[in-house]
Amino acid sequence: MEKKIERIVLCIKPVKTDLLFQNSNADGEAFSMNPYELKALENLIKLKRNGEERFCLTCICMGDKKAKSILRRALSMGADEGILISDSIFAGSDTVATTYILQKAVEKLGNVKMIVCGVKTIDGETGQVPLGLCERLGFPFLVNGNEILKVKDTSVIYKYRNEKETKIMESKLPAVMKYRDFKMDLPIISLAAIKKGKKKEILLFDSKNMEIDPKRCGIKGSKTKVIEIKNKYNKKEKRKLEGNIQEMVEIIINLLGEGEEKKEGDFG
Amino acid sequence: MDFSYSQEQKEYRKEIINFAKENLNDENCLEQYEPKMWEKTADFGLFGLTIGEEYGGLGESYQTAAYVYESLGYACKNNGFIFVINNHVWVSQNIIYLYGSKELKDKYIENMVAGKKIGAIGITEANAGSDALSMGTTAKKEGDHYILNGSKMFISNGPIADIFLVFAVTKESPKKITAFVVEREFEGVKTGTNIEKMGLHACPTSELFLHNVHVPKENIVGRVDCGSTILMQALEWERCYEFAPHVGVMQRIMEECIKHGKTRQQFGKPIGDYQSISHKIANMKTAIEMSRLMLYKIAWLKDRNRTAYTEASIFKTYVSEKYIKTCQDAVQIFGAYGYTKEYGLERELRDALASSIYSGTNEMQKNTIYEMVKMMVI
Repeated sequence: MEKKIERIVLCIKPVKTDLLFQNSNADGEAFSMNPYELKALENLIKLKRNGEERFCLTCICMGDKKAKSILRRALSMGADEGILISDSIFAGSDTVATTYILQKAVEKLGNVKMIVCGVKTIDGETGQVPLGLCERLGFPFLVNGNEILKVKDTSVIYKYRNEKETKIMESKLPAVMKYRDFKMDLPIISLAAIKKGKKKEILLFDSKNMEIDPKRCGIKGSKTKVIEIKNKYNKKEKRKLEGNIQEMVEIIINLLGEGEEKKEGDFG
Repeated sequence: MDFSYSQEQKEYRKEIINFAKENLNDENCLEQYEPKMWEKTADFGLFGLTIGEEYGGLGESYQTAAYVYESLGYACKNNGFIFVINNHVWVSQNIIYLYGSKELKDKYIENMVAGKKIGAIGITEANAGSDALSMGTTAKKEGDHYILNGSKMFISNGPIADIFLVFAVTKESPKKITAFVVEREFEGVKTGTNIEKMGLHACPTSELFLHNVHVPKENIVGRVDCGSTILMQALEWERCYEFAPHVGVMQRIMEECIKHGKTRQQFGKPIGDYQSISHKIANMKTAIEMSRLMLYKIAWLKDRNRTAYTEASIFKTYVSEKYIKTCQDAVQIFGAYGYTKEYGLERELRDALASSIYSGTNEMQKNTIYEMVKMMVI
């Protein structure tokens, strides 16, 4: 009997697009993939396309219905399965509650040989989810994965990288990997890939079908609470310089002069 | 009529814009045909958008195609290259796909969708332009073949095409024409050198010469002597979808004008604050909206397998007039900068001017529109 293909689960955090790009297009999606997970996704898809690697790439996203577009994109890029974890009682979940929900999702999926999470999310920046998942699932923790090179039946070969060194490691599976390489630019997807992605189903996992204890998720199940998230970019005044070089130099001198005046005034 | 876009259509738009901006706007290729761009566009899957999946296409609706081609015009500055795509997709591949036999489709469509074979259409002749049916190219039956003789003029894609949809006279009295698929590889097929034009330089154009070309009878599109119907259909498709990108081009040019109007200061305020500028931009926006409505109506008709002959003529005429006007106004708004090569607007205007000529001159379209509407009033 042929062995059932095992899953590699990639946990993708939807992050607000305007946190990623200063001048995000108004037409664009409100949410984008966390850059670490985007890079991991490309890495895993490349392994699948190269041939020998046999695994089912399952992308899971936790969030409201808007997060569905992230999964749709992942499926278009080449992921095999998309799971949307969504329920009103999950709102406000911190890393403790989130890892509990993700644990339940992984258990419901079954047949999981590896879980990959970005090193951190660019909004929360806690980096606690992969560690929490290891703890809950009892899987070994693979830190600083920079590139997955080969997925074998019972082990994974990957590039380990920290501030000082890069080395090739082989670790036993199952495991949870904290992936540290990242990518900002979205790859271009062909029209055919979009169509192909559309044909793949996105499954909804909610509190009922995952048999979640309501007391252990959402604000009730959380130890911390996010009060506010701010965009770190400050809009600056822009001005286009026109005229010949001499005229533009004069404009710049005047602008610098204005700056000086303001500076003096500030210290007034 | 539903004017909202589906999630999938939005994704298509987003990707075609990203794709075109990254791959089709090389400043060095804006005025020349670049085969690598063709290959990338084929890999991206644009050519098979409305073609069935059995031939490697996506089987999408004409509504989606209208939106995608409009987006292509918005993002791709290379109008000549868009013209290459349009000639391949809408008046060559699409006509074989819609009106050709299964045998003909099996023979050509998959390779055309994959971009391995480039298509062109051969209607116009040196002495048969607007009066296309006065053509002199002949096709005489000889056993299982037709022998084609004659020459075609102003064949867009001519120097690069592998497959030509050629119209030839198969009966003199009463005059009947037939549509044939002619391969470049057939003996007796030759194309002339590139014809230098005012604009659309990235679309190579030439004459097509046919000297005792043996074309198998299986290569007839539709039926013998019924080519005028195929020709009318081809022109209808051309007038609809070759002009869809122009709507997007107008949008892009309008946005450039708005930005310029906001940043260019004269007499102490942005020039966009002067009515002489803002009214030009308002006219551009009005033209874009009206063109878009007409385009979507045509796409709606096409998705229901209905004819859009009059609508296509109205759309073609209106869009080309407004496209040219938008480019002229943009040059005027940018002043001396607009007249320079560096800003690219003079190229846009040169490209736009052709739109009132190709696919049947606007004067001929107005004749058609009048002929059609006068039948409605008794």
